[in-house]
Amino acid sequence: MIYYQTLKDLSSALRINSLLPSDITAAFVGRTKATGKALHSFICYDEADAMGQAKAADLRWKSGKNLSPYDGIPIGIKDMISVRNQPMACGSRMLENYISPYDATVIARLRAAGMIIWGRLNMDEFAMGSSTETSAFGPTQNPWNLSCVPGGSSGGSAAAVAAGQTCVALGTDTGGSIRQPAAFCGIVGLKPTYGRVSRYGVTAFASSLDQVGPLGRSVEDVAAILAIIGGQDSYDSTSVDIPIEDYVHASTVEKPWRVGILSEFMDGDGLDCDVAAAIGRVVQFYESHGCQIRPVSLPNVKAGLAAYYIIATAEAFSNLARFDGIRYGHRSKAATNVADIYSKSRAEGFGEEVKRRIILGAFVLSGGFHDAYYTRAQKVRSLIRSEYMRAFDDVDIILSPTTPTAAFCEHEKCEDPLAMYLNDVYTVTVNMAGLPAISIPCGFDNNHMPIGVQLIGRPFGESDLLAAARFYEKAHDFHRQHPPL
Amino acid sequence: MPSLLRSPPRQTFKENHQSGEPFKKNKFLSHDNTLFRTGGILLTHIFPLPSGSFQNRKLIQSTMTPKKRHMNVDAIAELARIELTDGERQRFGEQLEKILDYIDILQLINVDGVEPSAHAFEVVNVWRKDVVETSFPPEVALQNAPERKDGQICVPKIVDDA
Repeated sequence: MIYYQTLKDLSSALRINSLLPSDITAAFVGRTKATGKALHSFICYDEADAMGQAKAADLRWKSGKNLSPYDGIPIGIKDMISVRNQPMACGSRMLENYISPYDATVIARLRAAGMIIWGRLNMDEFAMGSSTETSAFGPTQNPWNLSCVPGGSSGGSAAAVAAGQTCVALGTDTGGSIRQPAAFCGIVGLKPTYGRVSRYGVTAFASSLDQVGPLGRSVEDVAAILAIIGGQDSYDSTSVDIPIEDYVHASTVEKPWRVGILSEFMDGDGLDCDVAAAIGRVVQFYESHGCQIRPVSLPNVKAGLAAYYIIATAEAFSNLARFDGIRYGHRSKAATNVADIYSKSRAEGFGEEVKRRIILGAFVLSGGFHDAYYTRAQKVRSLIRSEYMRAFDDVDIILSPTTPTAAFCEHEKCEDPLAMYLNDVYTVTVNMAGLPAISIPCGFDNNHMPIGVQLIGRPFGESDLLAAARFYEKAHDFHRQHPPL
Repeated sequence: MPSLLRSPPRQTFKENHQSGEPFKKNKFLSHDNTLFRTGGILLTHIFPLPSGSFQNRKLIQSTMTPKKRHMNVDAIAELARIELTDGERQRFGEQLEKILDYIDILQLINVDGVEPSAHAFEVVNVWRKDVVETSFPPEVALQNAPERKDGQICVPKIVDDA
């Protein structure tokens, strides 16, 4: 089946002319149509536009002028990322009618590699959520069990990759929004180092934490996409001038990594026993293949989730102030004066989770509470970051579960925001420290729902991280299993 | 906008917009304009308000200690410029109290002598040459405006006739 082939396989097929980009694109479009109703992983897609891009790629391959080895292969795009002349709703009523006037830098780079920009993938509203249930366009279902959530906020991206609706996809990760849905859907998700990938044209949620990254069905595939989208960009002053490496090649390196096990995460309450057992087997694998296993302790990491929800909501409060009903986005028909335009448009345009987080963010920044919450959270952030950096003196990779449990049921956590937030407990501190991390499939729980293991690397140590992940992947077949759909 | 959150100068609404006596420094009790202070940016920069509209509003009902704080959801929602329904007001009140209880774990961490960090890595300003680049033509820049006329965005009248 074309739609379950990896980027690498499809690239080989293109090279030997056994497939054309339009064959490949048609296969993903067909698969999307066949499974779209069940999954709802796309908010919308433009078949004619995708096939048009594919026909142009056909001509390039036929004339030997392909732009890259991946020219003509579709990549799904999270609805948070601007694609010129396509809608970008960010899963929100607020931007229901918004059309992007320009391409995000990551999109421009994918186009330069000839990749087919494919559809608008569903997400939690403004990336605020861990289940894709806060999307104003309705939830996405987990392809492994339609009554379970796909995770979030990049739930549409993960579900689409897992179900063969796209070969690879882009997501964004502010506190785990690539890794957690990748774990829930049994695929690979990479959150690059902060500054590795440009954020230009990507709707801001929490600017000091946000990072764009790829989701795919193998480590090599996400490595290839990172090599395309990464690198400094003059339109994002936080993107860093450190050269992009040949991540595909780098991921084939094998060495005796020193693997740190995060004791705080392995002993924590709420860690499901199937997940703990699966992670234990990953540890055993590395140990029996010549890696040193060392316990790592980050004493303050337990306050990480609290600090994260202060920093992320504070930044979101500021960032989402731009949605005021004046220049773009929803404007309330009931408004008669400017103050009303603000408050009524935001009341009508934002969903509950977004409102809740904006209010929390306003609160932690407000005069009497600023020092007790916001500044204190920033100090805890410093502590956590220095603890991670100290840990990397002794180890090359830090290993933990990606999530405390496998995918939970729909509606299970909707009424209890705190329970939903606790799902991110293993992922958020990585964003606060700006580190790269990857989630790869490492087993199934007793309901046959996928489990992910998270590997965390040094800043800009994506090559090492990808290599350690691929080393495990090569010896297992979890990533080659597909949902019964 | 990381630069906004990072920039150190803090002003009050009063300092910024009015001359007059400086605001009273009271760390945990906000009676007046000090509530406009945020992490380096002014809420009033985000949502310009007519001066005096928040005079004497009590944001917080009780003095703030980690164990004794109460969020006045209405006042915060007004700051955030979101009109809440009765149901939302009640739900948010309960849910946010629960979240704040959880967040109080931060008070247990010893942060003496620790510098706060706004970013994971040190961020430096990036300059570019001051040359004109092509930008959007007006019709593209305005294509998403909810109401527009003659190449401009329409808004209701802001200044009263009186």
